Amino acid sequence: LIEILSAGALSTVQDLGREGYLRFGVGSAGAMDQLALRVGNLMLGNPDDAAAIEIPVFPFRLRFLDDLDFAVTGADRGAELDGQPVLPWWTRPARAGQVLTLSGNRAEVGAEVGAGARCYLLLAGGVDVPLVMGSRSTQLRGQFGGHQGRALARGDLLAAGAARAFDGAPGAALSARRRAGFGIEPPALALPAVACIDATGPASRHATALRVLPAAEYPAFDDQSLQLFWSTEWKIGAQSDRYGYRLAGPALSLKHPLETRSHGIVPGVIQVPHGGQPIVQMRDAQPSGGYPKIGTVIEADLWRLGQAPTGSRIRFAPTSYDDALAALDAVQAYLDKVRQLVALRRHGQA
Amino acid sequence: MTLDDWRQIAGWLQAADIDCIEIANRDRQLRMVRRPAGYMIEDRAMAHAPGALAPAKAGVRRPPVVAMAHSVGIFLAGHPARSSALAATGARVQQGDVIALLKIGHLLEPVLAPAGGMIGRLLVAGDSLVGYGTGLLEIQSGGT
Repeated sequence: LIEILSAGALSTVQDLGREGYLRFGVGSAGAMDQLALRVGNLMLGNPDDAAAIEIPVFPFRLRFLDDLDFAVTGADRGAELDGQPVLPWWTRPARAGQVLTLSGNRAEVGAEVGAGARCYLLLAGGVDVPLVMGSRSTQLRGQFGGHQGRALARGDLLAAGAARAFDGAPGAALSARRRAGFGIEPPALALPAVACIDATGPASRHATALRVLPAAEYPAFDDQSLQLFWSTEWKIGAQSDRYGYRLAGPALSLKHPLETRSHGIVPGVIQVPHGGQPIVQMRDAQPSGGYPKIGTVIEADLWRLGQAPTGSRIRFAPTSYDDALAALDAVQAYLDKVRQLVALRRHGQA
Repeated sequence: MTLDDWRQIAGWLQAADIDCIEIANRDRQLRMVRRPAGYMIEDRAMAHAPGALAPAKAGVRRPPVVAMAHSVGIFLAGHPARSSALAATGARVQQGDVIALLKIGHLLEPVLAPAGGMIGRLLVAGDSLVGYGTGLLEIQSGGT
């Protein structure tokens, strides 16, 4: 059991998402950085679909009410357990009564990693909230799923699911090595972003590069708009959240006015409404929309976008369907290696 | 070492995509080398010169405690996502503190301070491949 001591706004319980209900108008929800969720669950030996707490606003504090293994992944925001630093992408045991704090202070991060926007707290056994339509994710629009269909608040108690035993009786001494835990190389280092280089030179180091496939209405945009779409460093606007990211930059325009009916959209789709400023749909996007679609951020890069903070800059790089699948394979290969290494480590300690 | 230990090492090497590991003391040298059929063990007697390892002179100063690698891996003085070292020379640490990391594939294993004290010299360069038992950092314990 854990108790939320102070929740920055909009911390929610999320898992991989609610798949298969878009046709009924139910959005997918789920972790904005699916890779942080997956790696954290692998570190703890949890099922892949175990739920975690997504924390986008800091500081965040909670108290462990039982002995419990936990992991922190995603954005590096100064995690401490009873004042002792916990490294990023790290798992270790907590004792009943210990307090975990995510101060929000940005560590001196390397340039290739970036600050990140969302931190994930994972518990051994996963956060135990009821399954609703096959998922534990909080659906904020519909106010169901997760913990009572809402963001976490001070005083909330969350239980962990059945986990492997904490080695021995409660309170039993753990070895120094067991107490110290272990970490995983963050995907930002293991899976470097593509380099965006064009006639105007390389993109600045601080723009997150995202690979994009042209979408249905791509040919309907005028040539200058298409060129601007690829060459602009788009700024993630203030009105950006789990529903979608509004991008600030030059206005994109169509060759001719276009009448489109509402149609299904999924996370990653880049729509261009009348003002010409693109919107990237994210995990809480509504399942349909009628604006012209210029492109889609590939699934393998959606976690990078999920970690791009408001006010930061992103850049789109054209890719092909085959390359998008290869990128997904690379993500899977990383996860497979992590799974294998964690299993070997556990075997070595048993 | 038991056969199970070797099996486990073979698994680690496979996962980290490492072709060869060498474990040596004064008398023997064991090498585990990747062959098409799997990892093979080669056992050799060491032709060491007697007296080459002269016992350390009894010093006035207490010798530093050395934090050693408990696994083969790449020595990292700091977390790869951060720009600062975990424990720079001169830093005070307590026994059990994480003072460095060993990278094994995507796995990051902590190197723990074997004793409390002050971090002394780094004995290996950052990002270098180290073997089991390699001395990594010195800790000048207590007394000062």
